[in-house]
Amino acid sequence: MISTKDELISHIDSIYRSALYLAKNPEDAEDLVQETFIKAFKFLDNNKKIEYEKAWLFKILMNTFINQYRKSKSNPPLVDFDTVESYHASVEEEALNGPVMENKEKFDDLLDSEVKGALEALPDDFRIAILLSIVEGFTYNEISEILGIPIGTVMSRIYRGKKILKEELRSYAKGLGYERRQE
Amino acid sequence: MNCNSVRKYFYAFIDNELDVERNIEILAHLDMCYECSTKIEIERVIQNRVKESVLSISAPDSLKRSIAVMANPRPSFFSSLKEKLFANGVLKPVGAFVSLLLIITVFIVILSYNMQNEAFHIAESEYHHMLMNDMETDIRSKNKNAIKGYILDNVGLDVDLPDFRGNTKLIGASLSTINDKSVPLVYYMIGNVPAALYIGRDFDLNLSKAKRELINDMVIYKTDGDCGDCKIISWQGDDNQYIMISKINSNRMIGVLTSI
Ligand SMILES: [Zn+2]
Repeated sequence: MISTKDELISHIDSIYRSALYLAKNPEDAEDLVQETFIKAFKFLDNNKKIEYEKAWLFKILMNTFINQYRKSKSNPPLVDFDTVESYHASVEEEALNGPVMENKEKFDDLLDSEVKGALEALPDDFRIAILLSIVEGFTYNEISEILGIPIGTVMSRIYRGKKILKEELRSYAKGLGYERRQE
Repeated sequence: MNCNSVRKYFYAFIDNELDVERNIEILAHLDMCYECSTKIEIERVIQNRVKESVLSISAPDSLKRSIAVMANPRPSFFSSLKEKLFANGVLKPVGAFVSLLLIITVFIVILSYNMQNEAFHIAESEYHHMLMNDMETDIRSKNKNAIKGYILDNVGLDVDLPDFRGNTKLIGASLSTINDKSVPLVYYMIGNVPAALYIGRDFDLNLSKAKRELINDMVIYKTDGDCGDCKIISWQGDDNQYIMISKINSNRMIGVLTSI
């Protein structure tokens, strides 16, 4: 199947959502989305074929983000959180270093605060895997392709990420009458 | 399977990532274990809430519009200008009959505004103001399409913005008023010298005293600013008129404008 530009554009909300979580402020997110589509359109203009356009677009988004990240030395390096221990350490460190988000108010408006807080509690690398899984509905295989990491790493990030989310949103579940017994 | 091993597979189960046999095992366990089925229900509820909440975010309309514009680009005035000027990568000599026709047309159109050069004065004073105030931009972006979107949204002008070579950077844009009309101002840094580009429809320009440079079939007007330091160049695009001001000399401005 050959994708058209319109088909690519139909994924703009999804791309924007993820860009917002990657860039952490609306302005940079918009730039990231623009870059992504510029590259995608260029590819289409050269009559190249795309297999599964949504995953493909996300892969361009991730590559663009990582390249920009590497270019701008002002930003902290991308940290690979692979242990829960380092997760706790990083949360503390983040608290010490103050909020990472610019334009925080604008960002706050976009999401209900409880879910937002829960997502913020996740390390960056976990968060993007979780969003691709829960929100965008990609399979573990596709996520592994998009992020360029082994499927085992995807599984462990999603497993641990979802556990953290559940801890963060436990009170919400309780409020709905679940969790009568707690061990 | 006991509860503990079942719970290890909860997320993979919810995400449909298990093979058929394991899936059946889990289903069978959930059927007879109240505790596990409650727990998995909680997981589902939480995930759905996260999903719904994040799905409520959508891309801003201005972004959607500018992506749509990018998808169907009109041939840019600047890219055709570049093609005309730089066939074979070399500045082509002036000549051609077509050029002559074009210069006559452009000239008649522009000379019919036989009035004061108010636009130049205002543009220059805005430029000075901008130098003093360290550039107060309404939008800061190095992205051409973001700036185009901003101008389209706020002034309703669909503008071409030039491409520049490496040491020229787009900084942002703001709105100004020239002849009672809202006019977009786009800021650049050419090396470390700021430049401002004004884009509009009805600048009342009197160009009779300006030097004309005919580079192939494009007419570029060059003039000095009132302060003596500022150089101004101006040209007519497909739809809009452009005035560019900077302290660098006008030939260099034309140079960065057209070379990539
Ligand atoms: Zn059980």
